[in-house]
Amino acid sequence: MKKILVLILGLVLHSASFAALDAQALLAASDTIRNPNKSFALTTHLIEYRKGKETDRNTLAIYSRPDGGRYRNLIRFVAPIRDAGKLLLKDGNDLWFYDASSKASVRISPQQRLLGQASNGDVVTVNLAQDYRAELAGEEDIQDGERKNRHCYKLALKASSEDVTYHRIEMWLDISSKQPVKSLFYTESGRLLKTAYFRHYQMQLGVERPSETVIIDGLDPSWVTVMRNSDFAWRDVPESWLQRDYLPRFKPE
Amino acid sequence: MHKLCCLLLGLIGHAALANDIDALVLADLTQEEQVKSSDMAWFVEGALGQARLQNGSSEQATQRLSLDLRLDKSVVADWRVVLTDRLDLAWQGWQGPVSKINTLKEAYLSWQPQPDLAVDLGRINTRYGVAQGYNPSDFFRNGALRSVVSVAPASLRENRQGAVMLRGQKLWSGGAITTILAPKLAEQASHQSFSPDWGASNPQTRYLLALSQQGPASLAGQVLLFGDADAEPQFGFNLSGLLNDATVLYSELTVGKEPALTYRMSSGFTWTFAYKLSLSLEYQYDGGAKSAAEWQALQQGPISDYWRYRGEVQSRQALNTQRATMLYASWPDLLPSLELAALWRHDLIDSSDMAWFEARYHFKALDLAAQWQINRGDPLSVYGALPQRQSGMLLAKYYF
Repeated sequence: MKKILVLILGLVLHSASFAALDAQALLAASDTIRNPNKSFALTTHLIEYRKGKETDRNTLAIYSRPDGGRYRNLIRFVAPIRDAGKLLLKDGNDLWFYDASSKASVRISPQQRLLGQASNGDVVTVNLAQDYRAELAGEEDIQDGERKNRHCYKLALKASSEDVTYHRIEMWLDISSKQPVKSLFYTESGRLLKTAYFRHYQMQLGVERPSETVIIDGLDPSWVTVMRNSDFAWRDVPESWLQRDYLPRFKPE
Repeated sequence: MHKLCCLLLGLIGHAALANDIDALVLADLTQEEQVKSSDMAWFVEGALGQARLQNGSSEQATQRLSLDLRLDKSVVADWRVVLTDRLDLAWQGWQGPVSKINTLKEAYLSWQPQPDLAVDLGRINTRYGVAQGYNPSDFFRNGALRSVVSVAPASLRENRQGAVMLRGQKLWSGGAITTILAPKLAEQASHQSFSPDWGASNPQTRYLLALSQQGPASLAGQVLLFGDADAEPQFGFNLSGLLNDATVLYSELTVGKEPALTYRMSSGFTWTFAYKLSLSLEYQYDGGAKSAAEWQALQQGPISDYWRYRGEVQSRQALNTQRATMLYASWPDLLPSLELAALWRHDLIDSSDMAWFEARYHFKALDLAAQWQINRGDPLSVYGALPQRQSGMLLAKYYF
């Protein structure tokens, strides 16, 4: 009898750890869809709406370099014209903002957002599997960003690192392709911060990747940001670019 | 009860889905807009204002027109040329004719044979320091201000001229070493409208060595050695780090023999609320400035000595007295496209104050702003001695 109990307990623990491992693998698979695995560059257009009216438009050139499972990012402001040439360097929680007109590199905190609704963490490349523990929360049919029904895994992510923008995330991945379809981002207290739809998948750098993310504010659903990615390219991002002292001399060809 | 809860949750879920569909339809309608980077950027800024003077006389009008140009162009492989220039035409009712000041901010050639190695030659605006309102380790700030158009820290950082120098820099993962040699080019600063003002930017031969290194736990440090032909070397230290997700701490310190050992320090923090309001509080100490007794003696002495001292302090961008504080608040989007900023400087020796407030509205290529400033204090105090008691200004800035 005791042996049977030990066997049952062992099986339960084994299947629980298998489920946890499986969810983490799913999350890692979805990361590889969102993020290329070598240094690359892309252009991001951020278009912000309030109550159906366009209120802001930014264009950013983003340079990412993978480093031990994480990404280090350098962001160059291209538009609007008043911000052209400004830079944001993000290396984990270290953020430096550089303004070419004042030649000043200023350290900013992760909470000191420079863009509208999109946080600094939204525009840069982030591998969620590095910073979150995933659990499989079931399978669901949901409507994707193109209003089509998709059969999805639902993952519940909990932050395992303090260097993250969101404490808890719910994420839906297409069961067959593992493509991220939708995410809900929550504060520590459980308040919905934003909803994101990943849509308009296109072949970019060898993989079908979302070319657009639609972000909807959790408190004010009429506050909408469209994040549109283009100009994906493999791009060498030297180590020397990714530090404060290099910012005054950064000039892409 | 259970049914009611289920019904409510269902209704909330349905409403959320309807909101999501509205947002996705809106995103479908988003138009593409092609944007191209440019090597050249310039803007024109016009300002109209009113100032009430400290002597209680009637209000005086102020006007300004500024042109600012920036060119940053790669010429051939590894070589790049940078030119920035600004022209300020200002008229203040109580000061007579129009003042015309052209500032050649930068003009240099840069050679970067490798991503981690660079050499620059020419007039370069190089800034050091991590504090926001007073930067003792910004060793090349002396003589950098040729035309002051606003008391805002960002404006003081932007509207300044560099020094002519040869600069070399070597970078590595998380760190860099920079060496600068700036020769003496002239004796005296020039107030001529279109003078390159070598005498202000290069009044003596100076050198600087700066070593930066990213440390553990988000700490970033920098050590500087600065010297000139006439004085003992100065050492500078900069340190910044994160207290938490919302708070940046910073401190900068310099020390050198002048001829007694003299310390200067500026330390503070910036705290950002979840709704994007950022507050910075800074404590400033200048061991080379006047103590309370010395400041009082200067105020009671010949007025020409008082103003000469203040002129020198302004040229060095130092403090008039030894201790001061600064509070700076910025709120980038209280309403869409509306940016608010406020500054409060308080002198801890004579308790005089300066407050400045700005509301700025962004259009696509145009900024409209309203600024208001008040100076308060005894007649010869740090802020009470400034000519304007109160001033307001409307500005329009157009970017090309």
